[in-house]
Amino acid sequence: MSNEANDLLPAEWGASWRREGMPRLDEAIRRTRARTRRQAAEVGLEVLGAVAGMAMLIRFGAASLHPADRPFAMLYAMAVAVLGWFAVYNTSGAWRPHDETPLAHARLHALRAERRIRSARAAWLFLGLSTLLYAPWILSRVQGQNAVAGAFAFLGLVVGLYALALRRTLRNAAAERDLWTEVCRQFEE
Amino acid sequence: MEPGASFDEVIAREGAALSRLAASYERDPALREDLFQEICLAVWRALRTYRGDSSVRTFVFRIAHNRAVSHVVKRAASKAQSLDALEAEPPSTGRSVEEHLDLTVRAERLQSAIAGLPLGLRQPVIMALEGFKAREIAEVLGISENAVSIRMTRARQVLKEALSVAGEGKP
Repeated sequence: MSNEANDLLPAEWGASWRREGMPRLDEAIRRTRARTRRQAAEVGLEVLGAVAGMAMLIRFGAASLHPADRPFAMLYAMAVAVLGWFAVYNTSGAWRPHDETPLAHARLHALRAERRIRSARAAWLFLGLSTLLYAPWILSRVQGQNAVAGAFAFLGLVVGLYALALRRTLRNAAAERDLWTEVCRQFEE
Repeated sequence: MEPGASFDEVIAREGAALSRLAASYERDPALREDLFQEICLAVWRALRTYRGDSSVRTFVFRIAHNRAVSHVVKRAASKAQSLDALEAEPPSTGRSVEEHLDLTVRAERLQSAIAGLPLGLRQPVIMALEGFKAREIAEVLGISENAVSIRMTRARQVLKEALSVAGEGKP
């Protein structure tokens, strides 16, 4: 392919355009590699953290078993399984674009934003269900008025933070969906 | 370049064009550098999936445009702005006096005018400036050659108007 100006635009525009300063390409390659290594390390650390957290939970849970734990754990596991199934179902058809064109890319991202909205709405349900499950478990598991009040306060704090995060996710996803829809419209014009 | 082309080769050959592409999507110098890095990263990842169905250049430009559009949408979303508002932002070159002397005023004006184009017009213009033929632009964008001609006609009109307002009527 020629790098000369073609007949689509005035030749002097092409010359002006290519006058822009050259980037440091060796630096770009070095920084891209460093960024890739950093991202891989971050993913590794996240996996390690999740495994360590899970191991701690199992250990502490096993050390102080209570008759109320089993039904709570079973119901909670069922809720998590349903949410997990929904998360997989919700991403169906949104893994890859139909092709690599910008329009297909924009449509895919509009679809993903729409699915994130649906996912956040499901998370509201999960939050409500979790709160309903935690309340009787706290009442039967925690002894003492102050301890129960403390447990409910902690639950309220976690639910509140989770609700704030969900609200933000919903708002961002709606904004992104609108923007990607606008991009699709511009590409289709 | 054929399937199996290395990242270093691609960047050595297309790096300057990709940097100009990043500049046409992002006016803030620091964010522009970030976008260039993101494009390099996207190209590095995507090269593994390149099967030789199109030229490497076509393939790389598709990846780069897609990454750049994602960057624009992400930026607009974070600033709670519309795409039009983001395109209408005044250019912020952030260049030092020395750097300014290295670049011609014409190149600055042209880059600014292109950055103000709607995405659907900006993409074919950038590729035309990089020497892509109408057929190749159509291949990258997944549209017909006729559609490319229509977009280029509209883009030329918009650019000429923008450049005449900005100065002497020439880039």
